[in-house]
Amino acid sequence: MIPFKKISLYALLIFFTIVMMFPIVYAFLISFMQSGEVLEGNLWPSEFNFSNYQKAFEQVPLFKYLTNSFVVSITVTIGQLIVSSLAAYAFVFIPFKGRDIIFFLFISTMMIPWEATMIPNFFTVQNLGWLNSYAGLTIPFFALAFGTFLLRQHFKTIPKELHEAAQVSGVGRFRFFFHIVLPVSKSSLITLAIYSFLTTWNMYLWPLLITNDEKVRTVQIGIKQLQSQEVASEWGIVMAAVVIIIIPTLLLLYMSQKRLQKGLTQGAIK
Amino acid sequence: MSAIHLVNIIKSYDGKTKVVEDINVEIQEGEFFVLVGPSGCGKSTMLRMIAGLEDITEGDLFINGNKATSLLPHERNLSMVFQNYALYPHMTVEKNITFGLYKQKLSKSEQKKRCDEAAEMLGLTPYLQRKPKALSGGQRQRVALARAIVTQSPICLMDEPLSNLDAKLRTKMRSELRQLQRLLGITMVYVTHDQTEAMTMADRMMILNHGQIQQVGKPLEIYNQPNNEFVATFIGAPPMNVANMKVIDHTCVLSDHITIPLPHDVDPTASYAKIGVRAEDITLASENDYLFTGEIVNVEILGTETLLTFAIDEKNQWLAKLNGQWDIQIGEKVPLSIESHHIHLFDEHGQTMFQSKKKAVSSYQVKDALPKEKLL
Amino acid sequence: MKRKINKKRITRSSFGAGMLYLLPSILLFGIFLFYPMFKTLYLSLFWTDTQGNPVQYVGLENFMYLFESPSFMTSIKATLLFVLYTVPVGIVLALILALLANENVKGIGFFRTMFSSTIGMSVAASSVIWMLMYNPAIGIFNKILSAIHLPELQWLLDPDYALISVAISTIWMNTGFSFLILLGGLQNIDERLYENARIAGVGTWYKLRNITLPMLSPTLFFVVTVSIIGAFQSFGQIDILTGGGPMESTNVIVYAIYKDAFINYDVGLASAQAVLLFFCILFVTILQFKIGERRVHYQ
Repeated sequence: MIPFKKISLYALLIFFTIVMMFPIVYAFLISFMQSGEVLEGNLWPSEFNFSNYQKAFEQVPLFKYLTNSFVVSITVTIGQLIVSSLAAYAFVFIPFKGRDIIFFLFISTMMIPWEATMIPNFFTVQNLGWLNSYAGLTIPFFALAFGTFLLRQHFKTIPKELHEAAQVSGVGRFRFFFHIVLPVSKSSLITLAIYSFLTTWNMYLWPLLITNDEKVRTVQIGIKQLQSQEVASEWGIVMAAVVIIIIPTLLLLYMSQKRLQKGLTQGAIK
Repeated sequence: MSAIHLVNIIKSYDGKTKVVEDINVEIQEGEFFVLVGPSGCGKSTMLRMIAGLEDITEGDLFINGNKATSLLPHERNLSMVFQNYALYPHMTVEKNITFGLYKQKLSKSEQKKRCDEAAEMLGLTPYLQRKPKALSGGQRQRVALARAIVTQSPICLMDEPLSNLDAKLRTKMRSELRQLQRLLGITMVYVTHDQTEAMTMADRMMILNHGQIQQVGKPLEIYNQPNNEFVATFIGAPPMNVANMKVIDHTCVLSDHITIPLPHDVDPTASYAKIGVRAEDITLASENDYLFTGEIVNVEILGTETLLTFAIDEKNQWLAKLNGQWDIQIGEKVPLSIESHHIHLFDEHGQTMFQSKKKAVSSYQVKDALPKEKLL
Repeated sequence: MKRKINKKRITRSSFGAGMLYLLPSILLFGIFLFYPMFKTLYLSLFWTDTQGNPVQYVGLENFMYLFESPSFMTSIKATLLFVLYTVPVGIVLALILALLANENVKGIGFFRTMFSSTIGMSVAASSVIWMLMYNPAIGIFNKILSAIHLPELQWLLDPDYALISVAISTIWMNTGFSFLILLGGLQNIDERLYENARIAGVGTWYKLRNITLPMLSPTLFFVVTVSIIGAFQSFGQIDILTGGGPMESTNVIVYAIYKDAFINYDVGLASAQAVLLFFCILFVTILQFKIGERRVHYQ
């Protein structure tokens, strides 16, 4: 490539990196500042110490919130993997009358915005006694049409002969599912798991509705509370908490960006 | 003047390992030149360097006598056909064919004229308004060809253009391509891994292995006088039979029971390591030329010829190709013969040290072979 | 006869097995998606008590009320403006990033990762950061404005700027996702198509217009749809940044539903709005299918 072209390409890449990363770096820098420095509007902290982080853990039960978020995210991830892979298996390997209708039903779920159903869902969960519980935060999200389609795409690449060979040698459906289909689809399962974890960790509206008690409250609601309590003076502490809650997902993203890109693109263009 | 001249061309991606090593070759104007070799031998890389799609690490490239080493692809005045055809799925056949012609400052009507001519030539006229999706594999291939033709570039590069077609269509397209190239008089550089394709289409061919030239020449020259063991076994179907051997007392000893006398004009003291014999040079023995007995382990009757597989020792098997149909049973012990001047001898590096002086049969010899009254 | 029976037995048993594997999904969709959807439709036709129980059937009165309510009109306007502010700019930005990151140069993996960062950022955390950046006294934006001698703005407190401010932060939050999908789409385009273009010698713009954009159109279309639907569903950033204010200028539809149902306890009215949201999104989705079939080039 012509050097001029290359230099301008790098210039643009760096420019946009600064634009995209600025808010994150900004939060990181503020998280090391004392309140006086924040109020002066400085960009670079005078020293890097972790006192704000310590205070963040002291002033709100951040550790409890983190644990809750982990429990909820991991439970939803596992739930979605199980439920979606079972459904995807049926769509690929078990032909039966009426399967197309059910498949259409799955597609139609993607047209229903979750927000349009949240009012009755709130009452359902209330009636089940699941307010302020992990069950209420997790179980409603176990079924996922996107996950089913993503896995279905991968299952479809498994040679039909493999399935036929299993049938001929009398291997049961579930054995085939568990010992052959799942292991060979490991990469899609991991992609889906990352997607599930990220979206659940970042969920906001539902936990806001059904938790009012710090025993199960997730970090996203925790950060909102911290911000509304501390807003006037302690931005450093708020930003320390922000950094703590974005670290798990950012790390997960950085480790899996390539995989996620591939998986999401496949899911996007069926 | 040569159409394409490669001088000491080297390609390396990492600066250490060379994908293509020190290539020197001249491709003549109007020649059908085939680059052939197993996958990963560097033939496609070479083609892409000629096209300008890959940088040349070292060496120089001349096109029509002008230095083209660092020219951009479109400055080289050539066209290219890709293995997967690289058709634009969202454009009609016509748009695909005329793609980029506007760069040659052609008027719309001139573009249309060229497109119609090419379509006519390739039988695509009824499909001009269709999308590639609506065409068969063979038709798509023709669209890719048409796209190369309309540029009227004197050089056309082809990267395995037939490998996505089924066997029958492939055979048909081979001859079509060849006729087209003669008709238009363009210089063709054609990459394939299929030695049959190379043998049947090439004016001259280059055999590559591990990025190195093994041999350049006319197909029959290469078939009859391979430079080394690789070429001998790569070109020809079935491949040449090769076995380790020792020369003892003016005789090649392959195993306890198989010995073949050295031709009398061969230096018996040189260090030969391997012997090679083409399957068609192994014949059924008559009483006076009997050499050894082969125990037949497999027989394949192909109609015009019969392939016999026999063991030469515990591990290795050779093939003999007999003309016509022979009713030979498996397990049968068959007396076999090899004319000693048909053998190829290789040293321990596989380099040819002696080979048969076989040549294509020319017409007067055929006359001799037939009763004269039949010819007249 | 016997054959027939056998066949029936096979289909029935695979029907049972199939349903068994699908049961968890069907059950969950039934309870948490289809039932509440119908329940929402049902409740939208009623006056309800504060517990969400239907008290009196009122037909379309909730809807009539909504269409006469200036507050709801403001909310519709805010929602549509929000879509208009976020989607086109967000897509163009993501497309530029994807085109840049699709070049094969040294260190490109680093840039790709950076550009996709916002996928790992939750709405809550992002909103809190932007809240500080918009802070009139200490935030970075007003620092920049005063550094270049422009009047400072009351970003989130000024009804004229609040929605735009929220939109800017939303564009940033969504760019990572759109970028990653578009990059994937770009990488799926056969490199040979570009090589052929290089041999023909066509220019950069010509390539972009005649190869890249048409070949990317399915992906682009998907991203546009997802972005529109996502914009309709925005909630977290509104809740944290503006709380629907000032003067309801950022009271987008999901926030209005939330407020009516869980703060004003008018479940019937909230349900009516949820029904309208449903139809809006249904409309966008159907539009995608219809246009997608006709205009988008699949390979």
